[in-house]
Amino acid sequence: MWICNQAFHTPKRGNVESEYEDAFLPERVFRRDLSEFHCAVADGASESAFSGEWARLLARAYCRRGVSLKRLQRCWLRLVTRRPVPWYLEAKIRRGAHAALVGLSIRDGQPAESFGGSWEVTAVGDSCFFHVRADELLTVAPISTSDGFGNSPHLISTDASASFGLDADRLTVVSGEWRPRDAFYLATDALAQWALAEHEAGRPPWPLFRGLNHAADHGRGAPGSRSFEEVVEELRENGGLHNDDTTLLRVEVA
Amino acid sequence: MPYKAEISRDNPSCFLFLVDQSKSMQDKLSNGDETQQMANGVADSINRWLQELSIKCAKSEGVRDYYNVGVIGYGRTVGPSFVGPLEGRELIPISEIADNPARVDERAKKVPDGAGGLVEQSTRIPVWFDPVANGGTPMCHAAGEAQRILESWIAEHPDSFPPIVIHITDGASTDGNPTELLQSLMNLSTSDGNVMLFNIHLSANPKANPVSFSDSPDELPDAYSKMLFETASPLTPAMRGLAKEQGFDTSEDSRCFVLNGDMVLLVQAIDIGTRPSNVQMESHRPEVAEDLDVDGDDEAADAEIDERQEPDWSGDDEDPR
Repeated sequence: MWICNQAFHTPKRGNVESEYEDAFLPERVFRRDLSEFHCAVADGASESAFSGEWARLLARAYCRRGVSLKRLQRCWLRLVTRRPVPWYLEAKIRRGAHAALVGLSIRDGQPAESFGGSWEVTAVGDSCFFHVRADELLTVAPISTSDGFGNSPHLISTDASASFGLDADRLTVVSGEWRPRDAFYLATDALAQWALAEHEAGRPPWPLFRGLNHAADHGRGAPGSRSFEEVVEELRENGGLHNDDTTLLRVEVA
Repeated sequence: MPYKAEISRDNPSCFLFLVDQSKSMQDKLSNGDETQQMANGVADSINRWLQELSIKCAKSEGVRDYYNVGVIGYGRTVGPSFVGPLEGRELIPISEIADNPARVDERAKKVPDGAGGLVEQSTRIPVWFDPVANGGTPMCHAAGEAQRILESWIAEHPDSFPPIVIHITDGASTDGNPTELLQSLMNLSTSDGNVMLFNIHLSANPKANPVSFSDSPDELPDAYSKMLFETASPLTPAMRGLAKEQGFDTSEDSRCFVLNGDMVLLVQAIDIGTRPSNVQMESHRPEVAEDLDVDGDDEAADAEIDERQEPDWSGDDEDPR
């Protein structure tokens, strides 16, 4: 199968790039023939410290496969305690960091099957997955309506003592079939909520998502394509997009 | 709609404590811990609150200046009451407060060990404010100082979430009736609403039953309580929500007024008075996930995903952001 992958991100307005606390993988734009592909988007909670680091570890671990949560938690703690920290960060680290994660795995079908293959998505929290075919939304998870985004999403914690056992209630796992020319989007909460609200209002956002490129590439994209940074700024100003770190990962499969 | 401004480093908010440090603050609360002077309880509460606010605003690169905070004491003198490096300063960015406590005490604390037992852990407790109790109760003078400080702050931050004043006193002003001055303080406003005044009345009066967020002055024991009730702001809907979460009954007429809570209630009251202004700052109040996945728990393999070392990625995948 051919995978075409591109990620877009921008920090919350008022913050600088180094304060961006979402994470995504793969980072680089590519188009490649693969039999299996894994990608992820994570969103570090804004009130924790070192939650961007936690989001990055979660995204890596998802794509790396087979990494236990306990091991990740140890990595995070080692990472954030490498240097002596002031008293307030010591206390904050003790309270842990939290992040939402949505990971997508796409597999090529068996040769005997017709064109296409399977996908599986795993999600905790309010970062979302969208499966779109011919500008029609087929599947959305783990939140399916724009009013389903609250202030207290269930997130993955670095706190090992709070993380025993597999809690199926908290983990959303959905799977399905893909066909050539399908598109998948992974988005952090602000953009996911906006996209669902547009979809509900009969204004599918998928053509906009399909045409996005980067500001630096502007003018080189397809006719009518727009830069992610410009679109996000405009939507924050007038379109009801919540001011937050904003990330979109687009995967097209053929 | 008032009280909706987003709190950010470009548009911070402000907390001002007005703390009675008169001689009568050496008294014990009529219904509280018989060994604890009110002044000590108040100092502990304010230090704990400053500690919490510092931690709340801490990010990996340091403490973000979402707030300016001041503590004005009134007793033998009236003025800023921080001790140590911040002595003499009025409103101070929270990052400077976090980085400059007068001292950091080490205390042992028992915490759950995750296996049903307790383990002793050393924690660092910063101190910015010491108990003081001497002199009279120049409440009018203090209200005038607060007015001056907040007028100047509002002129520089006209669109910010309005300042919140937490006034803690045992009640009897000795330099006149402060009613008009306290009302005038509440009449100050930013484009997002009026200054909120939260009156916490500590009383040694044996007839003073604890009252929280009353909606009428009728049951209050004395003129001091009644004056502090009358001059307190109405609870905002966000504050009412928090009060309800903590088990308090409130009505639309409820005021930001607490009489004689013990020190636990004092901390709760300060929390209810100050937390609504954090709501816009937090996009997530997390619950905790129990588990994500997956197999294997190979310690030796930790290094592969440890950011100190270059992870072993196959293909062209780069490190995520």
